[in-house]
Amino acid sequence: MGTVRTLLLSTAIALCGCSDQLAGTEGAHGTTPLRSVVAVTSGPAELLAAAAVGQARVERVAPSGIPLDRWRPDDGALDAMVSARRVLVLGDEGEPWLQRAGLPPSRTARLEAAVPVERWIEVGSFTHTHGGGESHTHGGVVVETWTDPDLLRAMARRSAVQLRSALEGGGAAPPPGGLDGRIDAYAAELTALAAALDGRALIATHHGMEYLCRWAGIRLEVTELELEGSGAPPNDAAVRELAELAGQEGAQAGVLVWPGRLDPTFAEMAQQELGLRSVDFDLGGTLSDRDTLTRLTQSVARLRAAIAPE
Amino acid sequence: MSGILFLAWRHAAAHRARTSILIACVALALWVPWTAGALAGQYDRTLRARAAETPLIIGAPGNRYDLTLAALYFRPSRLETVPYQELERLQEGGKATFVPLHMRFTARGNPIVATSVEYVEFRGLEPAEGRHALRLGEVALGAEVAQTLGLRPGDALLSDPTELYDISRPPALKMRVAGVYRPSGTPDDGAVFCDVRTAWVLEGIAHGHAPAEEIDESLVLSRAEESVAVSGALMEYAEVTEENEGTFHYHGDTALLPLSALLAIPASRKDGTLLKSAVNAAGDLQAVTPTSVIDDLLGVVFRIKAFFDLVGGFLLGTTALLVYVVFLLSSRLRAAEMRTLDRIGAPRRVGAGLIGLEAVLVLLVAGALAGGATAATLRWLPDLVSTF
Amino acid sequence: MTSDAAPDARPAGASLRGVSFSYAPSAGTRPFRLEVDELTLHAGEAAAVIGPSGSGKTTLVHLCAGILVPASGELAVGGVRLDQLTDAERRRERARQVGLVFQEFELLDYLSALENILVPLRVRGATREELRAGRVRATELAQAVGIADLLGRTPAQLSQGERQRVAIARALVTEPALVLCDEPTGNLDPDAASGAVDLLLQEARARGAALLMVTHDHGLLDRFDRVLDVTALAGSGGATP
Repeated sequence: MGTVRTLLLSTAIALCGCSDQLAGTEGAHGTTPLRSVVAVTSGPAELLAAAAVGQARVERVAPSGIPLDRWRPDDGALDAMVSARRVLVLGDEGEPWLQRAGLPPSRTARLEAAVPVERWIEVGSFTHTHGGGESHTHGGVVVETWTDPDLLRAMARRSAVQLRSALEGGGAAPPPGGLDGRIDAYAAELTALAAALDGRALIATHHGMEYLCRWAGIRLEVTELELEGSGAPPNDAAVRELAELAGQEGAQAGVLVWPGRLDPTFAEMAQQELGLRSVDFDLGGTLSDRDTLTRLTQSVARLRAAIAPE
Repeated sequence: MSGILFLAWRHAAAHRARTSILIACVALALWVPWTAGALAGQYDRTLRARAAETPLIIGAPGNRYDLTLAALYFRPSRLETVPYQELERLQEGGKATFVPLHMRFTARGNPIVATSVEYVEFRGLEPAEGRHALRLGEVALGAEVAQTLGLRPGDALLSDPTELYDISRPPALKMRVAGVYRPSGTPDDGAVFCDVRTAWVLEGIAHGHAPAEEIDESLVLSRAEESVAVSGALMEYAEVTEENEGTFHYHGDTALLPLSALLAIPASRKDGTLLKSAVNAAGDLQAVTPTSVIDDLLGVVFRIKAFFDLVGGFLLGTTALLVYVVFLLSSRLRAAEMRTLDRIGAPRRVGAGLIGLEAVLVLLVAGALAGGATAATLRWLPDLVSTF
Repeated sequence: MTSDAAPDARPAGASLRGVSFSYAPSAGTRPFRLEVDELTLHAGEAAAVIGPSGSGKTTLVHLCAGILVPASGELAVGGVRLDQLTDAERRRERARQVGLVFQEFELLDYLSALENILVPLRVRGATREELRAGRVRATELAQAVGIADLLGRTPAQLSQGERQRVAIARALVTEPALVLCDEPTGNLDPDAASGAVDLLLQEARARGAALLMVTHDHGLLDRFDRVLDVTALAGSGGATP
């Protein structure tokens, strides 16, 4: 029977040829009712969603304080995202769990889509080969794109359009003035920091500050200490590199910036032995009780206050 | 009348072989056109219904019948792929909801339909048990697949390896059953659903393995500052677990990951028309309206069916003549019997009555048999439409 | 034809009065005419009909059965005037009032002996009750004619004599007023023929049926109450071949 069917079908297709006779048809779309909220998992997404549709319609589905590259949504979080009218995320780079979860593409807005390819910053990419497959590269992309005021504005414009059209049925709308003003204030703080540095480099333990430094024209030196916990000895090569950087008197600002978690033991050692004053810098990636822009602006201000006078 | 009926019945029963052959001939002559008609009707209804529910299919340029049959009925075909970025680009246009479809693999012979949650929402599939397949390595089963394979949420299902002897191809992936859908009476019942990302693992474009920094040095062939070559003995994970899920990653640009087709669900008829003309005008993709494709296809199928109807008609006519000849000869052979009955006092034309009743009995039994055989064919034949 | 018996007080099983019947001449055949002034067969009376071939014996039997309709005259069976009935009514009366035994027995080969005996009831559309009663009578008749243990067999499984007995039982199962036999012993050997005639006479008389039998076997005639010679009656209104 299968053969007969195949024969029949093949004949049918062969006889039909490949002519194209198209006609418009509209089908029924049996969507399940969606909740009129924007689900967010990161600080930048919450900031921009609240600016677009109001905080009341923003729903956090990730807990506060968990680094984005370590979070994995549980079933409840997945259900919440799937049933929301929109999900606003950074993207596969900033939130690696997205590579392993099936969010609805038509309802998922990615902030990273607003970042032109040439604006991405790559560091330390790692290529390898194994099995029978081709060689391939891991990592290397700095994900804190929202710390660049221009990129943050682009993300705000894009997400405002996507979120408002989804939740309010409205069309394109400019980003709200309030947010623009706050970004301006953040940018001004960055400009002030750059002025205070006056060409001196910032030494940081993490690449997370690459975008804001690039925007402000600040030279950034990064030593990835790979600290495994308070009191644990850092890797020797990194310490040697740090000592070298610290020794360049006048070329650096005399601070050690911690965009990630500050290690008090090492910070004390750096202060005493290398003369580097440790400064905690919150990049605003995680969810917190303060929004991303507030944390960023305050971090920049704190850093400016901490750098040694020239 | 009951006396004549009794005599007709006894005569038919006494000549079992002859009666059986007659019944078989008539039943066969009826079964062929009835089954062909019923199947054609069933095809017509099912194919058209599925097509009518699907506004627009978008795929790589090529045979539009293959594209439509693959997207609607998961019929195996080698479609040119569409990069995932096309879905994102089209979605940006806002004219429709676009649903990704990837249909290259099978699991124990059942098509693996890698898609997104919009597909199950669009088709109205509801989990009878468990939930949709939202995580990498998870599957949700159509009702028929779950029943046939006896699987429930929490069980595992292995994908079918595509290249048994090619070690560069990924091995079978052990997938977790997250849910089972209620029966829908459509080809969806015979499919295994997963997220598109799981299909990319099956493709070998995404995989998981121990982090490069943690690889056993005995497996490292060479190591430079920014690269490391590792022995083929480092095997990729053949199952996505909670523990190793974080190690799964894509190679290259995720925007270029392959899809087989897209379903487009326009917000309005106007949007659908604009979208279709825009896609077809651009030329790098094709947009087809399933109803028109299926209409074309069925038009040909029904022209072929008309031929079969003609053959069936001839068969029926020949059988009718055969039956007529048999009963004519029978009436001549039974002339003496008819004369006896006539003399005993049977009603006038008792002979015609006896022969006629026997013919009616044969036709009734043959009709019932043919009807039963047609129903059985439709019931037990594998779902032709889903494997169309 | 006239009766050669003395007047009888018994009810008439069959009576013919002033009956005239003729076949229209056709190519290759001579005209034929049968006339009967008066013939009465009383209940329980048995008459033999003799005469050479073509002399009208079978025609007389068919007239008595209502198979043929006289051009004129009165024909009554069991008190019912057959000549005044429609064809359908005549058939019903024949099935009810007349039992027939043929030379070839004419049993239906696809029926059992019991089913053959019940054929007259079947063809007249007997009710379920009538069939049940008929089945009882058939069993009794089978017992009487000595085929009680053969009722499940088909004609092919019976001997000539046994078939004859089934035919006799079939003729009597409706308890007819008149039993007509057209050379019923023609296919039997002399002993079997003698036994069959005795059986027929005995059963017909026992059930009060008039019996008219066509026979060529003159050795059997002394068993009948009357003997009717068709050829001898030609000049006085008998058969004219």
